[in-house]
Amino acid sequence: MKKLLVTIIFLSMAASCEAASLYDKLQGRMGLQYWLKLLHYKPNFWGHYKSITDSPNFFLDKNGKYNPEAEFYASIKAFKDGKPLVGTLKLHPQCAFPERYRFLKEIGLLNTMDAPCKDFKEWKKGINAESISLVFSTSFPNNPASLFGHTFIRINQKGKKSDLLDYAATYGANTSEEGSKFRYVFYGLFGGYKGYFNFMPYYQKVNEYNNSESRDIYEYKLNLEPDGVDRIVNHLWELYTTAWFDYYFLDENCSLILGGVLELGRDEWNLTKKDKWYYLPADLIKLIAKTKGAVDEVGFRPSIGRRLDWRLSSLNSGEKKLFSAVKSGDVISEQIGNTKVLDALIVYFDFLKHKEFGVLRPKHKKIYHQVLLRRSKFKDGTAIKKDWKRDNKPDLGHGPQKFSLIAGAVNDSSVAGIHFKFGYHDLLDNDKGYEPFSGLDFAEIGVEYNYDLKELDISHIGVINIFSLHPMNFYDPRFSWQVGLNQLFAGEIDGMGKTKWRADGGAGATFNLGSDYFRWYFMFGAVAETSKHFENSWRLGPKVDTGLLMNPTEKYKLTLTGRVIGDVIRRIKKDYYGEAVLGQSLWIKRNQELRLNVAYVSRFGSFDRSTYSARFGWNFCF
Amino acid sequence: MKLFVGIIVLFLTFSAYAVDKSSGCGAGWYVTKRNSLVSSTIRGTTNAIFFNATLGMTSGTMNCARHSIVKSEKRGIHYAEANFHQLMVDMSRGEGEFLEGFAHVVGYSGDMKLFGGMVQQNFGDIFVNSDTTAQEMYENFKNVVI
Repeated sequence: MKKLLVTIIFLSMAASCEAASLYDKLQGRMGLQYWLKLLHYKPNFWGHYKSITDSPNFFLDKNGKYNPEAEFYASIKAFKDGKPLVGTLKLHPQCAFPERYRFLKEIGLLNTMDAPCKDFKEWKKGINAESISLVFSTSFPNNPASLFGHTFIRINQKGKKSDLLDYAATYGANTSEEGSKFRYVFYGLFGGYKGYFNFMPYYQKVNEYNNSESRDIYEYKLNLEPDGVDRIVNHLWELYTTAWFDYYFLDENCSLILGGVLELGRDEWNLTKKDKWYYLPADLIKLIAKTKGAVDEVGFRPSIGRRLDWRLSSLNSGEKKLFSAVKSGDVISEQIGNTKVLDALIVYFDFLKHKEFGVLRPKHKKIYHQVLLRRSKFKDGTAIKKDWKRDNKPDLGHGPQKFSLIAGAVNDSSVAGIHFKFGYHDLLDNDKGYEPFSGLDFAEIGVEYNYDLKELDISHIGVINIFSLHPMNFYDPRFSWQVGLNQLFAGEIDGMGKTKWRADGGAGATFNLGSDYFRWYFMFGAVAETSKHFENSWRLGPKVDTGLLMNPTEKYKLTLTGRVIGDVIRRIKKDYYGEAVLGQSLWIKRNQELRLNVAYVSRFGSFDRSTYSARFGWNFCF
Repeated sequence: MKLFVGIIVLFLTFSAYAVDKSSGCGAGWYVTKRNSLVSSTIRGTTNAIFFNATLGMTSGTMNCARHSIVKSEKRGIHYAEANFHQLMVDMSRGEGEFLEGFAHVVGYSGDMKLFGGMVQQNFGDIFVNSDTTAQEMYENFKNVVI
């Protein structure tokens, strides 16, 4: 009996020794790092690993999500046994996880017969991968809510004739069920949507982003060896057939997951490094552009709106008149021999068509057909004139977070302070890599010391500030708008030490003054303010906003903004005050900026007395 | 922090990804939906051409591969459907990336200038009027070529 017990103990020890050594071998052969990447394991604060993949099908051990070692042994066993069959497709484990299998075999931890894997091989043959591109689509034109853009993968085919016939691998939340916007936001933030991988021809994505939604596309072709491409493609199949992830808009979104896939391509790549509580598409682009030798070349596909801009700006005034005459049906296109005008008309109607979800109004439809017919009579096309004065690749953008050192004066007092902003981009920020003159700021706080009052105060809390300044044009007339929620000094009472909360919003129009780098806006709106320093503790009233925005050189911006705010609650005569701000920014490095703000705030009920302030800031983005 | 972020995003109402419903499935396709015959199946069929048609369905990618009606030999017509607007533009100009893609899909591998010129010359026969649909366009194109 005793002997039997000892034998059992020894046997179980031997078993565990052998088992441990196999996992040790994985570590010893530098395979652990790849294993962790391949199954998307991330260590938590305590050093425990957890995979960000959430579907049970992706794991062969029931505890695999939390245990890389158990998953390792379960995988080896399943690859040997040929069971359990995985997913609803009932794939042989080797066929469901071809990259896992290849990897374990390559480092010599597995020596089994290969399963035939017909489905997988057929699929892979269809994909016919030669290289991989990371694709970035920018925001909707001047819609700050979509400023963050979107990323997906393009698989470049061997010996291809056209990029359009490549395949796109996309990762996104499945939000197909109808639901309220509130639910959409709630699920997106706190989890509730599942993210899946999907494949489709690239032309589908180009049509969708470039044309239907008028967004620019940047294509970053990655520098990968054939085996790196292979690893990624194999793994995409694994994800496609077995995986979903809980989708969180701000961090576990398309870009973090894609980073986790692409970093398989080279052992030294780390594309899931998160240094903020959010991970945005541009973060992935910047990370990959920063990774040495990772990007071969960058391609660009201008949005349909941009192409139309280019076409129109290449017309002289006579041609513009002709353009307008044909567009409104006053001149029939058969009389036109100018291909520049015809080409501009074609992009114009194409733009309209996409804007109206694929259907032109009958009158336009007829004119469009005539224009196309006329155009087909001329052989030589006119090349589109690229009015692309400034390189605007998303990887060139400044970091979204900002820390500032501030020194200045309020009336006769000196002040000094610091300011921090979690994100993202304001009207004075360098537009390189961003939508020009867009503004989306959230989560900011500043503290300031006043040397006269000898007081340290919270000078500013910015919850959210959005500026959407869409330049008016005849083909896409849109309102501009603005909203904000802030705590700030109440300069209209006394610029020093007294704060108020303000919620405001407005809508109006923006105009380009001769160039895209010189704009003017005006808006009407409403302001609500509250402060314990107010007589009635709160105010509510209309406002008028206007501003001149200039960006004469890439590194310098100047803005001059003014507003008049009223109060309808008090019902007295002089129930208004005004603000004017002159802002200037100079970018000395990509992530370093000098800024000077000079502000005037009139006292409540008077434009004669006022609070002046000037603040100089040295800002660091990261 | 999440609550705070919640407030922010509620302000935005529509986040970047919200608008990007397309990144999974759906949206984007409304463009062709109204004036197409088989557009609702395009997503399924484009998948079906190169991927096992059952995959999309079973792996839960919803809408994407529900239909596998159309076989791979119809690839041309699906390309024509999906890229109808851009093909119209390129054919009238006798050149362009979408036209080149089309040439390859229908199996033409010769000189693109020749192909472009021929299509352009016959534009009026391919797009007979302003109501020509993608399928009619494809048929007309075949008639012109053959």
